Amino acid sequence: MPLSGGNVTSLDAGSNLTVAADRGNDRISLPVMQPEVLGYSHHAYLFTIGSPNPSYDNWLGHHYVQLWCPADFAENRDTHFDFYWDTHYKGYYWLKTLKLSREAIAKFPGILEFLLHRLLQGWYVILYVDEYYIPDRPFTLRTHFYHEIMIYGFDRSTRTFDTAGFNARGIYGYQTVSFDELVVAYQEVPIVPDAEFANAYLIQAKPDAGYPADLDETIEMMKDYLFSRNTFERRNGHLLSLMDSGGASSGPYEYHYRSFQSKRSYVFGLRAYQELIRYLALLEHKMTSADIRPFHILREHKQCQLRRIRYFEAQYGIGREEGWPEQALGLWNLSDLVCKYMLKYQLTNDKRILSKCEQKLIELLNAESALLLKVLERLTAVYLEGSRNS
Amino acid sequence: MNLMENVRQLIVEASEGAVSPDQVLRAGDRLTDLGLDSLAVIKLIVLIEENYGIELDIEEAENRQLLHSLSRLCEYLHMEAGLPQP
Repeated sequence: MPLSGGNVTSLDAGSNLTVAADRGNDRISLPVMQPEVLGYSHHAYLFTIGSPNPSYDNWLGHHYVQLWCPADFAENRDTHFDFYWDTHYKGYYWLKTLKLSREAIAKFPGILEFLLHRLLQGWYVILYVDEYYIPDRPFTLRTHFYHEIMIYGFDRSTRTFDTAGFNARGIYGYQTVSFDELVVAYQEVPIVPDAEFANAYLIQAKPDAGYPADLDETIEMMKDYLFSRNTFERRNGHLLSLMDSGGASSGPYEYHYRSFQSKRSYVFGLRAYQELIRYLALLEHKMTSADIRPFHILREHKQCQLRRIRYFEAQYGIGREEGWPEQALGLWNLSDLVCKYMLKYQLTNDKRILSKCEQKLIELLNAESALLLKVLERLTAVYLEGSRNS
Repeated sequence: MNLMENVRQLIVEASEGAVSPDQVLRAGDRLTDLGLDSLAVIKLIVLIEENYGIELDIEEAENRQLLHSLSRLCEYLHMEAGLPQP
């Protein structure tokens, strides 16, 4: 099947609600915005939906605090250095999410009808497709690779869907994909029960969702990050104990037990910097391949941190006199510099650049821990004072 | 070919289509305004290093705003790398 060479428009930083909703039976294009976090598509898609709801700012001020990576991240390029997240596409307060199996979708007359119907109802759809058949993607016509695509609109007259994702150059943006291409790409994904790619997600922004900020949990999460505590164990300890005592290591819950067990050995928070440094050392000795994505995530983490510190200033009146927002901006600048060094390394293979990266990572780690210690102390005081007054 | 023209060609090459070969660049043009994203700017740094046999550290380039504009870049290459005046 010839590919249409879909039209890609990259998103400008800071752009907001770039596509207006145009409801009708023949065409719809749901609102999308420049994502706050786009290092990996599972973040980018949700933040592309975003929300005009004020609770979105409130929520973001208290989330995207923690980082994690598997213990073998440095050696294993199939693993992710990422923001900590509990469940796939869930837990985002401003969004309503439905998870559907392929069997449930199969009850519709066809995937095309399913998509058109759900889009007309105002749902964004995230489903797994074989990227081999999607034009201008990293694996187009090269490798069969199952990956999520987000669909936010369609036009019957041109028989195209509006989709978001990473193009062949790794740039996140918008792309039109023909009905035929998308249907084939969906149908070519094998049906494997329990596999993540067997699921699809319907997502909507909740216009009236109020977010009750949980400062206590935010403080705990910041402690997790600063002191490299295992957030997964802290939040799921009761389940882990139940599984341990209930003999879940075999039988029907074995898969979940193994998944839970593996997360006990993850590296969390500031200690994850050591994994990046270990990764650089392996890269220097050509024992692994260059991958800029972890450094993008690190930069986005500093961006979220800057946003959070500005939020704390606005919400709790802390940090302005001490210049915390400026210091947080300085941390972002350092992380941006590390990203640029890594880009240069990818272009030149000059090993000296890796030493500069390591030096800047250590500088960033030291400056960040010093700032966060102060923030945490003041924030805890704010929380205790609030508790006494309530 | 003078320094300004040579750098202009490198910008066109680094931009991968954002700056067309026949586009007229002015000395005061900001590189970001020309549509160069961060990857293109790093490519430009690498091309400058390869073409002029110099080392241009990213941090130094940012601190001294060497990539702020075409004229600023040419001025740096003239002063620091001893290339003929633009």
